[in-house]
Amino acid sequence: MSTQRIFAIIEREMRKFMRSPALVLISLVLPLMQLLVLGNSFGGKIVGARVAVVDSDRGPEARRVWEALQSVEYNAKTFQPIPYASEKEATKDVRAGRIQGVVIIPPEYSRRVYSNNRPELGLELDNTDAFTSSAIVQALSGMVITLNQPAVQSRLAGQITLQQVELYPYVPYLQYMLPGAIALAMFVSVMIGGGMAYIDDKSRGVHEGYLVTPITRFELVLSMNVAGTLKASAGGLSLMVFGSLLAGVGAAFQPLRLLSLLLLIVCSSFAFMTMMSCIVSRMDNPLLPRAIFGVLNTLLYFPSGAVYPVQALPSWLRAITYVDPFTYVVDGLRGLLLRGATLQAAFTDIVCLAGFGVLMLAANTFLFKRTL
Amino acid sequence: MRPFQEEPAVIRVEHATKRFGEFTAVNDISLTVAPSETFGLLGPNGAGKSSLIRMITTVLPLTSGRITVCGEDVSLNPDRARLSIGVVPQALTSDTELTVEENLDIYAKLYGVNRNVRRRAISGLLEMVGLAERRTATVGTLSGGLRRRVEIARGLVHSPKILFLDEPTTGLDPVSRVDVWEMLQQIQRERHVTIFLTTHYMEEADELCDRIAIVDQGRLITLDTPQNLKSSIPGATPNTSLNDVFAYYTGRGLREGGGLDQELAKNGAGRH
Repeated sequence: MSTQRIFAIIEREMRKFMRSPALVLISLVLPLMQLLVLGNSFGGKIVGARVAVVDSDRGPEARRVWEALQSVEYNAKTFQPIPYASEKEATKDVRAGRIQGVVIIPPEYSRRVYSNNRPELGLELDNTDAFTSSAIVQALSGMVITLNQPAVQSRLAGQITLQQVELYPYVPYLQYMLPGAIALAMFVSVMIGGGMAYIDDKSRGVHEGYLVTPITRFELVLSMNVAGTLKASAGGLSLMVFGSLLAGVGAAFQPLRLLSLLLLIVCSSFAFMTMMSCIVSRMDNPLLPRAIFGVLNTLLYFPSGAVYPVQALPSWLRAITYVDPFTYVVDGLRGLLLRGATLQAAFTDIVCLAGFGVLMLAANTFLFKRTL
Repeated sequence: MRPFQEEPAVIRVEHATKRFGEFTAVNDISLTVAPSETFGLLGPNGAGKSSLIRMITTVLPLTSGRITVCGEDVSLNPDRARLSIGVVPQALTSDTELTVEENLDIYAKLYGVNRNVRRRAISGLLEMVGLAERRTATVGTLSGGLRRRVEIARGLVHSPKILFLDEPTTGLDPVSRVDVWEMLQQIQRERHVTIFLTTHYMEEADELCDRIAIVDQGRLITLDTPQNLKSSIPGATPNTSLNDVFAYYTGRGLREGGGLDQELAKNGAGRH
């Protein structure tokens, strides 16, 4: 094996990389945008939904319901109650999308409360929007519990309460998204600097130029993967720095943790790059990697736990997460960045990623054709 | 027997055949090239020139037949064969973001040329192709003609015995084309390198080559010196051109499907 030849290819790739700053920046734009847009739009609480209230009772207990609804309006701000004259009108407005739900206080409501005759409040929801409707349900359930509490509490508290202990300060969704965004930055770098650059070189005949030199198959495969790993590491590291500053994750900047993060990022980049090399190694059409980018992104990024917990996935999707390098990258980064864990916690992820990379490198060497 | 064939051959092609599925790109071609000769493979686009040159330069496996380069079988000992050849591919493949010098340096490293030799070799080559002044210019800033010179210099960084050029002047304007011709003649004179080129321009073959092999549809039609080829056809006059020779042997003109004018029009539009 000739290190001179390996370094020659790496040198070429890195020089090209350094001289196309626009390309480098573009590979950071997508993950940064995702972090900012998704991080700020999903994590936020639902505020200011509009809920119609049809009061057919107008009794004193209906008054209490009104007060409770207004307290939600002023405190949690989940929704704003709007008085409606009839249920029919309210339902029409739900269908038109003007309001998100209808609370119905039926006739005789107050009388049923006083006579303990199963009083009921009605709720109609626009459940085409699961997020808003579940937020409304949550707010109203809380309200109903309050309404049920007797005016005079018994002196011995016999009810069971859940005492919640949160180990970490509140983690906003923006921070929850950060590991995924860093992983995505590496993936996009690999896609552009690995996959597309490879096929581009192939179609331009640059590879044919290499093939007439005495470079061996393994030297060529290794050098291209090392170069791709370096580029992706640069992308991941930049996003980690920008992202941690944006999301306010100070843990990233502790020297020891920074070293662990660096190790994780390099291993992740290696896993991504070798995987990409395997995928594109027999491709010739420059349009193909662009086309498969969206597919791979959806297939590997979304189920990885980067945007939504893995525990919420159906079993067939969970099967993907076991072989998806994204899962390990996100898990390792989340441990180091958000849980303040040490290298030990991310060690399994690092070993899995490195092992996956070595396997893929072997496969890539096998798949790569030394002749045209 | 012609004198060229009595000398030891640096390239020996024996019954080389290349098939892509049903299509036969190179059909049982045999030829030899003598040391320091400039050898031309002339034929229209799609004649199998590129396939043959790729087989000789070890990047395309033969379907059948045998090829040796400087005594090394390209199928059995490709790496040894690779060290004695330099290749200037048809497409411009130098990296536009890199400087002239960097482009050459990377290739010299790929050929295992050590540092001191590398520096001297590259300086000498840049001097020869007239790019010494532009050594630190990025290749992207050079014209097509100058880029072609970079690629020619790149093919010579490891001082090969044979230089292969696949359509070296395709896509160049007439001035740059003559420029490349002169450069190749100079390389031949100064370095005694064997030059093997393909072309579909008969004037190029006529100007540069000691011997010309005319190929069409994968077959070797005829092989001789330009002079002998021209006088070989019935009713030859001093004005007989290689185009006439080609037409005589194949029954059609060389310019059909890829002549000079079409090529210029195409590249005029595509150049940046």
